[in-house]
Amino acid sequence: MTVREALGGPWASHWALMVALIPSSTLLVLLRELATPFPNWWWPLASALAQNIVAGAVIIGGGLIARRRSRIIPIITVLSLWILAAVLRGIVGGTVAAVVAGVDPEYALRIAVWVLVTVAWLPLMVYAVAQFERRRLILGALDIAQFDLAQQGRLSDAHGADMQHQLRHAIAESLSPALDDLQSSLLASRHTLDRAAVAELSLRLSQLHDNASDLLESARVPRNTPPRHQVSVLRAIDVPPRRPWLSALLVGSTTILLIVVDVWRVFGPLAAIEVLVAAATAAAVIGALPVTVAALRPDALSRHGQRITTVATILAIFIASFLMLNSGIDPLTGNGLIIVPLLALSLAIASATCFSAIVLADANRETGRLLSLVDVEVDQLRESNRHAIERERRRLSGLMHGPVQGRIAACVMALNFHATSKEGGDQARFITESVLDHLQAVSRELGVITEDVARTAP
Amino acid sequence: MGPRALLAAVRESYNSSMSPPEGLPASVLVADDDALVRTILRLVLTRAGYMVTEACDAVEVIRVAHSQRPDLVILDINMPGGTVHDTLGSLREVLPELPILVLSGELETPVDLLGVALDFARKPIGRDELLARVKSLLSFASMVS
Repeated sequence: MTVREALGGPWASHWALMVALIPSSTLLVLLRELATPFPNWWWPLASALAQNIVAGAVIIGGGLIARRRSRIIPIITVLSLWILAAVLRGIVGGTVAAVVAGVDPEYALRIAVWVLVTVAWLPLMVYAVAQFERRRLILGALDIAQFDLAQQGRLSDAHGADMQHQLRHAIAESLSPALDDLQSSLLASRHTLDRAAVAELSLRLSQLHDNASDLLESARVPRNTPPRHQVSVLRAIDVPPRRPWLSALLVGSTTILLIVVDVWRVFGPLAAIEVLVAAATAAAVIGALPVTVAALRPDALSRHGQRITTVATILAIFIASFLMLNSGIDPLTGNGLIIVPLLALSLAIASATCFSAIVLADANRETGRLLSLVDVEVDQLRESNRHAIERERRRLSGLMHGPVQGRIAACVMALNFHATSKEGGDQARFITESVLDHLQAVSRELGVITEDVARTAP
Repeated sequence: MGPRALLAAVRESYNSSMSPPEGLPASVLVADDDALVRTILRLVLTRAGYMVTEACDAVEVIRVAHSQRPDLVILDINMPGGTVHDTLGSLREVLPELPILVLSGELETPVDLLGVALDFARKPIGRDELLARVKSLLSFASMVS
């Protein structure tokens, strides 16, 4: 999956992603409007709601229109939509603040902050979600390919045996009893055969011939149901962390970009410095823990990577919260209490996003290469099986055609002729005796084939 | 005219009449290793007015065809003494215009023989179908010659 496919794909303007962003963007609006003297407590919530509706309408609606031309939207179009939504968020927020609270709308600042946050977060989030979805699909495809590989492996051993089993079964259950029945009928009435009886025998023999012909054509091995196409969420994210310091850098920078400007504006420089310290420390923990685990126990990272990432994130949130409340950089603890929920949410989302963007992208590339190799192997095995099955079918077909089907066909022709012939006497006797001889020969031949097939069964 | 087109033209020339062409009775060489099949084909064809000779293996088919020059050969696809390709090839060397009807037990038409044999029929073949094919092959061969 290329960057263009990820960023221009369906997640660039997906309603589910827009809905998922509502809690964090609402918290950000609440933080920003703390300094705005609204007449009622719910005005910041109303402002956040209006901003989310406008931004969502622009991104989802614009995406729908842009996608009419092509399934993948050009990155420049996607970026334009996101930035337009950010600008409108700033305008809506400023207008609500100015009209309701009578303050300076600060359009330039609001727009600049929203554009900054949007450019820092949305590409990363869309890329991460696209990689996550790709992970689930590609793992599902790998499951199916490996299932096919195993099945083709089993088929190479089983199909020949299966065809032989079907042939033996059909001979024992269908052909031989029908043949015995025909022989008995012919033997019992050989001296008193009239045209109607011969025609009836001919018809039954004809059916027997058709059954023998269809026998090998219908030999098939049932295919089992393939596994699901999309794997579970837990399995999709069960990947050991990679490039932990890059993750840490991205988590720290996106979190700081999201919060620090508004914290400065609302609570002053000391609170902003406190956020900087807390976010940087949290990022350092997110980077350091996997590195430390890898150094102490190299195999633990590959076996428990998912748990280590989760523990690192929880630990980072805990340390950041502790610093916000106890560092003493900003003497007002109340400020820290207000900022902590947003900081914790931001760290959690950033950690998950960076994990998906970096780790899953790498893992997807590796799985894609593995999938190609397995596909090639499956194709080769399938081709080889096809040849082997065709060889076996031809071998069994050779056993059946001349000695069995050929003789039955001769009997059908003879009885057909006998049924419409006006000749009797020696000619009729010759035909009846010949048909009986042929049927006995077919019976013997079926016994030989059954033994031969059983002897050569793998 | 390609082999498939030739086969289609032959089949288009089928008609419902079972009687042999007027004039001298045509000669048909029936080649099959099964005596019962040979007997039945001989009975059907002689009653329809054809002269019939028989051969029971590939070597005999070629020998009889060379010596008697029949108007038509009815050839079983599985004959002892040689493959059907070799037999058809040998027949074509001496009698390139000879119409040949190949009888086969296979469900599918052996496509690789389309350029050599003139027509195919699947066993068991009925009396009426056999006579119709024989007559149309002979008519087609006389028309071509």
